[in-house]
Amino acid sequence: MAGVPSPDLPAYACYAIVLLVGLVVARSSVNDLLAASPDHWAFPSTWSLFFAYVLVPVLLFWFLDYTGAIRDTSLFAALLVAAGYRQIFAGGVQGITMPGQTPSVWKPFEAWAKTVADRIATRNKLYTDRFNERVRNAIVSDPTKLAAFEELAFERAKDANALQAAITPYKATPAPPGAALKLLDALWRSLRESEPENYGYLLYKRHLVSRWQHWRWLENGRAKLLSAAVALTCALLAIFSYVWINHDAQTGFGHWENATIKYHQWRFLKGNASERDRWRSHEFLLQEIRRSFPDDVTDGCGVAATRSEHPPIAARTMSPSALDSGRRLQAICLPLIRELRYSDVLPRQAEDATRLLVDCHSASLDSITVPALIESLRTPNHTVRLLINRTLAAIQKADYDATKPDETLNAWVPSKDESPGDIDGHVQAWYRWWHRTVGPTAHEPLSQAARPS
Amino acid sequence: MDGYTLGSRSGLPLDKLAAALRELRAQDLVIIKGDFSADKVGEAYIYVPPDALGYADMVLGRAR
Repeated sequence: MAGVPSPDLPAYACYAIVLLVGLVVARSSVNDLLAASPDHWAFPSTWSLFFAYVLVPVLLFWFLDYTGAIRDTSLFAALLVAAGYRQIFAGGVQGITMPGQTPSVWKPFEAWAKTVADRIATRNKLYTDRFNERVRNAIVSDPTKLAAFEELAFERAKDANALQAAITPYKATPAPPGAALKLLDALWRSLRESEPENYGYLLYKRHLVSRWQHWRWLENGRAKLLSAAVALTCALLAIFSYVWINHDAQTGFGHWENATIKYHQWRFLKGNASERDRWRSHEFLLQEIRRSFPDDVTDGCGVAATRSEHPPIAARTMSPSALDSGRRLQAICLPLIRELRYSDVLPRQAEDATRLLVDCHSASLDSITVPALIESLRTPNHTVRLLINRTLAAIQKADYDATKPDETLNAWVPSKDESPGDIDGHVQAWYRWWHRTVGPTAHEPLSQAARPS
Repeated sequence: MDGYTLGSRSGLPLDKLAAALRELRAQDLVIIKGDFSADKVGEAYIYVPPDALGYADMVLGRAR
């Protein structure tokens, strides 16, 4: 399936498609499963089952992408998983195979659905019994209502003669013990048999049950009330989320911005992301870095600036806007650099990250990235050390050509057998160059780097 | 749904419905809440899972 051509959409759009189609499929699945209980939406357990059905395709979509069976940017894969996740669990979709024993995960889920159906049946029986008992008590305690009920039962009886014969013993004088209740039982049974689904409406029209009782118990009123409450809760959550993500004007770094940056960092560094997806994230991060340069720095990405022209952020007295810019640049760049320290980082990920830093080199960005890059030279992965060393050399040549690093650094070819001591020597050599270039205040270890609030 | 509704929809009198339900219950194909003897099956609550609907239809049809 991963090899099947499909429009490549941003992953968030595909997850949204899975969620939206999943909502429709989940509603239909729950309705099918509990079709025998007309007011099944009146029960919280039905809603938990519904939300579980909504979540299953989303989690499955993520899992299949994680295992490489599909790509989470594929429109067709999103539609297939959202609509046909049961077939996928059953192994009935060619090209999508669940690894190992994972298809058996569906079995406990099915068992849970059955338990919910059982619980709903129990509650339904209980509520129907209570309703019937309440109505029967109201009728039997009021002779006028009993007479009206008798009239109704005879009106609708399939066999009026049989009904008459059934109730005659209870109308004898003197009345036998419990005659009223037995009379009601016979009439009730007759009415229920002749009008099994419409009896509530008939009782309501004869004023034997109130409008509220009729609506609540026989017109799925409880289900409508609970559905409205769930819809209202979802709407309130959506409003709250909208307000929350757009909040935080004080730092200039809102939750939404933070979330989108984290999202694109994830996509940018994702091992099995599509080329187009990585390109999208590269473009986004590039734009964000450009946007984050402080107002008083006029150089942009790719435009070389010497130290004398534009001192780095950390070496200056920072204005509030420069502080915000610094925070934003740290939030964008440092997680990418931090990934370089992971020994098993994929070569492609390391190349992408270092290329982005070189693409955006500028004096204002260097104060954040260069110390972090120098520290990342300690990675055990010698290929990544080579990449970082080249990146530092490229930045030095572009932005600080006047200050040369040690010759040993240009000639350094990291190897697998280097000792930590050798590596530290090169790290210290880069730090010496950096301190010579911008001064010691510019050194900000990666671990202490400020993060966006 | 209750026994009255199921009896009406399947076209079965309540005594035959009770017999059919006993057969389905013996095979663990339906969930029945309440007494489902012939005179009380109307008040019982019956749930047929979707995967058993075909077989339940067949049993009810045969009882008819």
